[in-house]
Amino acid sequence: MKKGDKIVAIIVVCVLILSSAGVYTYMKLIKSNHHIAQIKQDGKIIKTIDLDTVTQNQELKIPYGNDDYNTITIEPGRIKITDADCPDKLCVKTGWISQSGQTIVCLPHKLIIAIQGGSKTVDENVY
Amino acid sequence: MNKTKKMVVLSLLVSIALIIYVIEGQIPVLFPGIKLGLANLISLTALIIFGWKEALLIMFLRTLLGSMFGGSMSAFMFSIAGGLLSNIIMILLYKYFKNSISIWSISILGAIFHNIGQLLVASFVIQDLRIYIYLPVLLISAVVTGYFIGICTNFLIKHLNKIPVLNSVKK
Repeated sequence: MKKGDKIVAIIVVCVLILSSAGVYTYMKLIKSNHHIAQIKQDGKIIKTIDLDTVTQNQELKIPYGNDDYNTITIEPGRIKITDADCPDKLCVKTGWISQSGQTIVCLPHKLIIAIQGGSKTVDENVY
Repeated sequence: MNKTKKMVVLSLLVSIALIIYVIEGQIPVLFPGIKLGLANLISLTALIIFGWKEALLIMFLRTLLGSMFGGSMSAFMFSIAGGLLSNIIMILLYKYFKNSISIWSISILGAIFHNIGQLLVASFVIQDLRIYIYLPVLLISAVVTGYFIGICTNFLIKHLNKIPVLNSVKK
């Protein structure tokens, strides 16, 4: 181990700890009981779904360009991409997401589904 | 004669990198964008044996051909961004610090910046910062693969130095 190696090791460990702490804090901060799925493509929000009010299973087909698509399945409380014609199908392999902060990303189709936290857009409970 | 030899050797290296790239594509991946980056082994070796121009050339060719073979043009964007950033960092580190840093440290930092480059482009493409949630996981995989590649590079260079053909091709 040369001298520079130790410095590199320390820097790398610090960066790792910082980023892990950052992500952990973020997930804790936006944790909420309201699960609103936001579907964003090409930088534009194309659909917002309140997962808590979903009563039946739904399927949505989101086209990309002329021939490409992602098929999304929505069930009460959770959402996932069931099919896509992108080359790697990582979005399909991600599976179900249901907690605030979780995301499914399909990079070739510039698509991201994220479950938001906070309840700023939802009517409050009536007692 | 020398120029042709050099071209052939570089082409061989590019094809080896391509094969590594295709094979590693078969390994299941946990999150979007974890390219294990095993093919960087070849870039790093080229950097040490030949120089920075050859390393960049190999990286560029491998990324271009690799995306034509197995990915889309958008995969090309991610690979190029990561590859470029990673190579530049490794070139600078090697040039200025090669006596105080081991190869595997350079390789680890190269792998880390490769993933950072990919994340940068990804966040730009989907216009969303939330993809950075994957940063810690990518960092860990970068450290592990970087170390592994560094060790492989050491082995490779030790044995390549024994091949006389390469000595006549060095600058």
